[in-house]
Amino acid sequence: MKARGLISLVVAAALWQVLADTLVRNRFILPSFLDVLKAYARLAGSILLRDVAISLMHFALGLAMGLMVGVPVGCLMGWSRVMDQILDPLIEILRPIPPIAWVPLAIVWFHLTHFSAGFIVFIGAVFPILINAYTGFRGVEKRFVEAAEVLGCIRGWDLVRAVAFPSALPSILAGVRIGMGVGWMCVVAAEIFGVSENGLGFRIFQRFYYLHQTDNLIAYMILLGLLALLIDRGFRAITERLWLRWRVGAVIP
Amino acid sequence: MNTANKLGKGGVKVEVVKVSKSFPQPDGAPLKVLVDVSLRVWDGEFLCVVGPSGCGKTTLLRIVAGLEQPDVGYVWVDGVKSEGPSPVKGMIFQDLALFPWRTVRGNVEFGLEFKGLPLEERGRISSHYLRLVGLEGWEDRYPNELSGGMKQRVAIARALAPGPEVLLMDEPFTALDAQTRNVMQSELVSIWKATGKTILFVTHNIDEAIYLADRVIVFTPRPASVKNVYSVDLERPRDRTSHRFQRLRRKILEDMAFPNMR
Repeated sequence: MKARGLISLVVAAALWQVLADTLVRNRFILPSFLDVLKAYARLAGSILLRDVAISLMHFALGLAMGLMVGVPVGCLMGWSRVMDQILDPLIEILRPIPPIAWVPLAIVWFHLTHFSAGFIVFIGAVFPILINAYTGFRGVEKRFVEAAEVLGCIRGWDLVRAVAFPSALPSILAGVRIGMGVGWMCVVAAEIFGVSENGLGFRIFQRFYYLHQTDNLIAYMILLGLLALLIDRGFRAITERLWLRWRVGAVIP
Repeated sequence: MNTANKLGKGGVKVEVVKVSKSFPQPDGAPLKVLVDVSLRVWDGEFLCVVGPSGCGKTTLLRIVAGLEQPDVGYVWVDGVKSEGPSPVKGMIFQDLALFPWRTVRGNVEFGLEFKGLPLEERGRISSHYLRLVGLEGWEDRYPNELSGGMKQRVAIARALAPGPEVLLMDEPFTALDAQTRNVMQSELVSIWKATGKTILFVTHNIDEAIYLADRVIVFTPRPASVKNVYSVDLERPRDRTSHRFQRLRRKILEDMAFPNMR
């Protein structure tokens, strides 16, 4: 399985190398695979780690805010008809605005700081998280609520804590995963548009592109993909081990 | 309650008084489900209600549990008028409704958490009931990992743990295969004997009712009312093939052979 998965990667790298060396033969248009590897070696000693750290910080900042707002508001709207009716129009108007459209406002409000980038990530992450928390709470099965009630779990807050939240958790976590995906795109978008002076996205656009360093550019692109993959895999592994163990029997027979 | 007749072991545990219930339908005409149903369950008694599928047995049980309100009539449980769900009335649902996100022990301890019991106390009680239903060693499994019979045992332990006055059971063994069902029936009788609980058990299975109950109440098809009441004075454990068992079975079958049943 693992070994087979490597085949496509090795073949793609080889084709790329051959293509760059024989057909294109222009390091600006298409640096070869080895050029990019060299770029990594060069960058690793200087700016790479710092850019990664800063992008991750923007990401974490926005995601944390997205969780703090999205989960409670989504749960509240899913649980209470009244809150749903009150908040739904606002959410539905704000939600379709592309996160990048918030960039100028972010700069006006937070200037060229990490908070600006975090804010854009927040805008991107909060809605998928909110919607999935909402859907999860909406979908709480009546039979579980009744089973809890006849066992003496009658107060609203107890039902939320002991029935609605655990039963909605798979949906909430799925929302967090989607939110993280959108959030990661927003990190790059926010940094490209210059809301901060560092980070992977900032470097790609404001430096490598302007300086025609295509090898560095591709190195950072691949790094962006790998980091997102790593974050997603890590998140799945941790949540499935900690909170979704009960689904193992149900999902994988 | 002063109306409680001092009969049986200790008077009336559940009293259903002239209960009627109908549900609104899309076409406007209300669907009558229960009409003027009265019955009593004595303290410590095992009472079965049999009736054809869809006759309103489940609705009766849900009214006793406090999950539905009757249009007319009252339900008294342990001398208190039943107006909503409470841990006094333990219920085992037809689909069990075990919490899939909780382990076996977590399910059994669910009701204990809302009684404000300290952690060790909860553990002690849940262990007791898990032993009673024969689930030692399965405490840390999740419902998805269990067989049908084991899920039944979890549901029984979960319902018993908070110490209800009466156990309401809604066709809990329907989904089981015949062998497992027989095993669960005889285990339920043992559990009933060990705990002395009052049980109101609803089923469409005549054999099951005669095997389990002290008394069997036969319902008519919808709208349900009480058609007949039988005392089952057969020695336990009961022999399903015995002459007296079969004679009673024939009587109830005749009761339930309704000519215009849809």
